[in-house]
Amino acid sequence: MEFLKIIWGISACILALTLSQMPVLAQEAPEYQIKAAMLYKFALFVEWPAGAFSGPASPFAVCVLGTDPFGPWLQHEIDETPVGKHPVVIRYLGKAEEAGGCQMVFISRSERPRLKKVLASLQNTHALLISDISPANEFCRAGGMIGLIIKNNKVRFELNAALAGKKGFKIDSTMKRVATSVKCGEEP
Amino acid sequence: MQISLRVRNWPIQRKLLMIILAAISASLALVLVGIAVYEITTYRTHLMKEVPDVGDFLAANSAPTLAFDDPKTAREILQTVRATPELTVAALYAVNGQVFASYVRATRSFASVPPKPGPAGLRIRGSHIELVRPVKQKGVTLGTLYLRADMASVYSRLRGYAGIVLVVALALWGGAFLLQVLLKRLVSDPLFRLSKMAARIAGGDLRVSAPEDSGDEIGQLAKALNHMTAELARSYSELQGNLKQLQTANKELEAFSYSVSHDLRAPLRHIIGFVDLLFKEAGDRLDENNRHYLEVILDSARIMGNLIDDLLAFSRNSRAEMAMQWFDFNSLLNEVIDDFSVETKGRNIEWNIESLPVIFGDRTLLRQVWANLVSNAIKFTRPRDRAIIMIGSKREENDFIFFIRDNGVGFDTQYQDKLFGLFQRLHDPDEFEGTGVGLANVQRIVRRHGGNVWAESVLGEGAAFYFSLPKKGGAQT
Repeated sequence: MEFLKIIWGISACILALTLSQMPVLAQEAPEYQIKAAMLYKFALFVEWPAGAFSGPASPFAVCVLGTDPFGPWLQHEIDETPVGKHPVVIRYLGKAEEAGGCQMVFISRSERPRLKKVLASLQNTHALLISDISPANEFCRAGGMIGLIIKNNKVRFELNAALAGKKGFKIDSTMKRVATSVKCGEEP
Repeated sequence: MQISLRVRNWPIQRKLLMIILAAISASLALVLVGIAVYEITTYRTHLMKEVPDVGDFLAANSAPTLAFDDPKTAREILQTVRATPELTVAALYAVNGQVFASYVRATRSFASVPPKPGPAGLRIRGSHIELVRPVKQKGVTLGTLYLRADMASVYSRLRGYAGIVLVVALALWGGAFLLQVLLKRLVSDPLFRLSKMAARIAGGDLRVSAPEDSGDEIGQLAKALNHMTAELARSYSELQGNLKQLQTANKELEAFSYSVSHDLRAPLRHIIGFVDLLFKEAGDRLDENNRHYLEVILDSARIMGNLIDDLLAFSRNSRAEMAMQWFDFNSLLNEVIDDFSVETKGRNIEWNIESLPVIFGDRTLLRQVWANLVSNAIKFTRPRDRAIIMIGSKREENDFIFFIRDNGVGFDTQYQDKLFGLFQRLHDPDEFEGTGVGLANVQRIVRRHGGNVWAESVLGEGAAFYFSLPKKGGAQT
């Protein structure tokens, strides 16, 4: 019994050490839980262009392109709560060409090598293009609309407001205020 | 009571001013209360509309800060309530109930962020208003907004009004004070001078004159008063002149009657002497009739002699210097009654005599007063089997009043004014002898002492005579 206790103590110490060494966020929730929750919140402050939905009750598709970084969190944060009257569905895409019918596409970091190509092929969809590929500026310049970044240990976002507007998205002005920048991709 | 007495003694112009001031102050107070009620109610209604509007604005603007966890921007948004002075607390709570961001105005009020927002709604809590509303975006609750508005600013505004009212009231009171000074100078003081002057005139000083410096009613009154004073002084000096003439005439008359009486005595003595002589020497030779004639002559001469004696006494009493002194009235009265022992012999008289005070006067003259009054009482009770004579005194504020009351024949009160006249007689001389000088003498002596004489009677039942003497000696003429 005494031996078991020592084992527990050592493992606890190791765990504590490992955690303290990791570049973890100050927030209680894991990074991708927060990012997953943010995807849903964006849906609350953005109006999609007229042709984005096939019907008034057609599903709101949140798509993940590339290697899924969310694990269970996307399901956890988005499930059940509809956006307006649209029930939310989650789709995982292998290629950018499968994005038809998506309202929101999260481009995984795994797509970084093919970024320009992927984004170019996503430009003719009605999807809001989001990614945490850094630097966000580069993502935006390639045609991304919302870049997730880490600033002061917090997940924040930059907006490519000009592009989103051109594509027919109406982004709530109050949300723009919370954005770290609304000129994502315009800076040199 | 004391205050009301003091107020009652205030001059009229002050009373009027006080009434006006009280009315003004009361109406100012009422206006202030009215303003306060109006302000508070309108302010409350205004806040009940304003606070939810601000709430809507804040909720809409702070929704993304809650959604994207940006308390810094949330605080900036909450800070915008600074422009609305009555809002003292604004706070955002996250969905889990924790305070997300807050703003508390630095004021004297003890407003603070409540740890829990409480149920949603708009509530009046004493002097403040509380709004709790959810922050929603597209039907999804992102957090809760708490707003608190205090009435403090309305109270500060009311304090301002109260200050204005106070300044106005002070100005009014100051103005009233000045007005009172002015009124006092223009109305009260001249009136007071006039009333003092009137008092001096009433006291007999006719040399005063009122200043006629103003042309208003007071000036006219002063003019009238001066006219009246002058008129009084003129008629007074006229009267004085008349009085002097009268006094001289009276003195001459007295001297004349004295000398006449005196001169009448010598021939009368001769008449009596020689009729007596004739009676003695020729009495036997005269018949019954002639003897009767002589007796009638003798009686008439004697009566005439008495009359002349009384008249002489009367005029002496009027002219003699008075020897004033303190003496006991009881012993004087006893002497007088003793003098009448001959007349009262064999009569049944009950004397009821109270103790009399010591008085200040001329003993000889006052002895004549009592002698006359006692003599009358004895005389007019003669028909009674049992005569009752009461003598006593009464103490009044300034005078002693003495009385002598009998159960004699009395007199008819309709002739009362003739009672004290010289040679006035109310009774048949055959029944009650007398010259008609006695009571006139009494009146004269008492009046010279500064007193008065009067009488009461019921015919056939008795009479009462009164005379008063001043306690401290009287005016002497």
